[in-house]
Amino acid sequence: MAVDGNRSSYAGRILRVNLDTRDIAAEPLRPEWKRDFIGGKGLAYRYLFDELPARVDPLSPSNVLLVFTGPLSGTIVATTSRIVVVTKSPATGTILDTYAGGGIAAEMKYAGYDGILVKGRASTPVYLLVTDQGAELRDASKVWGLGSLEMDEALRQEIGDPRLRVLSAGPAGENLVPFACLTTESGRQAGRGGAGAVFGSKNLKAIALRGRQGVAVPDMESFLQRYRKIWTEELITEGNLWTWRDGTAGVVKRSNERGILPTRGFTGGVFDAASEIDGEAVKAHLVRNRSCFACPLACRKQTRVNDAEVEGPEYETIALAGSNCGIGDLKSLVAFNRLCDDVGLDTISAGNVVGLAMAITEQGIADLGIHFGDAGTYLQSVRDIASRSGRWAELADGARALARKYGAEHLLMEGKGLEYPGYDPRGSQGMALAYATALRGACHMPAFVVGYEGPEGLDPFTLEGKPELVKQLQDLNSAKWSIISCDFAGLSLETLVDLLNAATGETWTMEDFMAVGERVWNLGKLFNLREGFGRVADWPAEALFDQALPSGPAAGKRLSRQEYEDALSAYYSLRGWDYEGRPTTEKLVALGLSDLVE
Amino acid sequence: MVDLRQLVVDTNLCSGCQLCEVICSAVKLGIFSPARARIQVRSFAVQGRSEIRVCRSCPEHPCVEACPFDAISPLETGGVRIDPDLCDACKACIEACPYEAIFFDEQLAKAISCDCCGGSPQCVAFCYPGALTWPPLDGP
Repeated sequence: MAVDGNRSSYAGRILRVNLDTRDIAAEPLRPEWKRDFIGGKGLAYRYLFDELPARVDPLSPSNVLLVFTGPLSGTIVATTSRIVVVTKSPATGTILDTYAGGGIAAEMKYAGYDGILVKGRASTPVYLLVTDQGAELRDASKVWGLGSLEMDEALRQEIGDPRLRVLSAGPAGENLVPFACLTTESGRQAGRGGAGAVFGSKNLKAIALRGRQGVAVPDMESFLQRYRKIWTEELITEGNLWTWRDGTAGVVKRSNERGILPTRGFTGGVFDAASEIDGEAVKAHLVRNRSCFACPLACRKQTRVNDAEVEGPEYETIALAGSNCGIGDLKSLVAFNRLCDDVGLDTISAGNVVGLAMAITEQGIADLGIHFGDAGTYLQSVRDIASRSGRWAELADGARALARKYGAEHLLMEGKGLEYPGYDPRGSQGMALAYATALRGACHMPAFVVGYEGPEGLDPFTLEGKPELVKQLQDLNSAKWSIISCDFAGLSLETLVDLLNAATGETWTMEDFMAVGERVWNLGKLFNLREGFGRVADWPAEALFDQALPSGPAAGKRLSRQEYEDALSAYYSLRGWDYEGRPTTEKLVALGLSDLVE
Repeated sequence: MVDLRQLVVDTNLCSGCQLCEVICSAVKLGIFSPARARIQVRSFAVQGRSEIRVCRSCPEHPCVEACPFDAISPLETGGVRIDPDLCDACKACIEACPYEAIFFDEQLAKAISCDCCGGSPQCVAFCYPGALTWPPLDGP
């Protein structure tokens, strides 16, 4: 749209919603923040830091919730139709950025907004309807309690528009489960950190979007010419299209071979039934490849095993809800995945807490009545968690609470309260640092070091050299997630920045772009420091130091506490942070963040 | 001798990416506005499938006969042309099309249909799954 008379793929405005007063108003995007933060993660972090004071209860009306897109959404550029949900996490108390693809980001742009900012709590259940004609809060009492898989159709029928896009919390979010997610288009989730619970705490069931405006770029003909060339030469390549051929399930075999596939409550790294739930197994049940908006990569898989069907399962779900729960039966895994999607639960956290409950039972610590490989109780536990009722209601407080309750901390795999993703750091030590320093808690995304470690890469059994890699990847991804582009994009940075400039009329250099990444990461760190997360919080699970895996390439190997301390100190030093992890004044001045700190 | 081709649609292959809509609107309108494209994809996310609506260049072309203003003419290179100067927005063509493949552009207040970009349909190159192809017609 035209911004200050110039054609740009930015909408140039955000929508501000006050659920207490039910006031809704559009306001201009802060122009002074565009250059330094771009959009997506960076911009949403900046707004959150400005609008949310320290020490707010994440489930109180005072928490601020942002759903932002980036400047390329709504254009033809693949992988850029992404939203980021930014808020304070109910699972960890840290800053949270959680992402989802599909078409909702593009729809937000066509409705005329770069982002939506929500404060307060509605007095009755509502959903927010945003179109290019206006925005309103509508009564959600008829859809409160509805599963996420029914929400798209329910709201499309109510509004009478088959192209309405919906982002919704499921019953788990309504019940404030700290690992409740947000779902769009059935198979896409803003999964981690409890964004669904923040929606629930605000009595906000969903955000529904529909836009008929267009997105302009300064010179469409030149843009399309440029993109046709990129499509042929850079995007549609054998290397990039692992997404089409295998999807993320293709990683299962490799993790198992490396002995890092979470198995039976992280008590193993090799799963005997991995071939029943790996990429080949999923492919044998493929119904169709599916794509997000404007993306040819089609990494999404519609999978059917007899009468169990889901869009998925993705690698993380296979790892945490498959091998980690001793489930070697694809049909049960597909059913678990679909159930989590419908009730709105993060499969990584759900798989972790269920696997932990199984380990507690199997090790005789307490009889929680749930066993590895038992599909019936495994599925029922999801229903209990989401409804906070029944035998497994106590799992709804997450793995850390469960481990503490039963004195099973030696089994606990988490960082800052967020349960570990699907790569065991005892066989990929760089991930110990990556998980421990990720801003939203233990997350594999910001620094995917495991992709660089292995038989043909870096030595996975040392922390040497890893601090530099962790920092570089975190900064790079912070910049990419401010565009927002998805990790599967497979385009060079130069191409991404080039397209960003061509679409917006802005002039970021590569140096500018990389500086955005470092700036955004430091801003997130300032938020966490303000919430009381210091050096001790950047610590891995104790199990990594105390217990070795029993089999596979990582058998017998434990991390060293001293080596970890040294690696953390090296990482802080590289970042220009002091011993406690506080950015120095010089660093803040260099990044233009010094006025954010007293 | 004209190399005649036809836009062939295999909706079962559609991944729901909507790139066809995106490029169509970009080429025809100069902006990215899928809602105003001359091809429309409707997705059913839970079922993991999509439906594609676009002119099939059908030989009966009831749209041509339905138009009271003679605004519609079938094109040898595929699709139909709807003359915006003659279109009176009565929507009779939209009613008549058995493929629900004629759409109404609210902003232009005109009926719109695929015209295969005059013989070089831009959507085909962006359909990675191959749901849209542009094969030659069988010769005599």
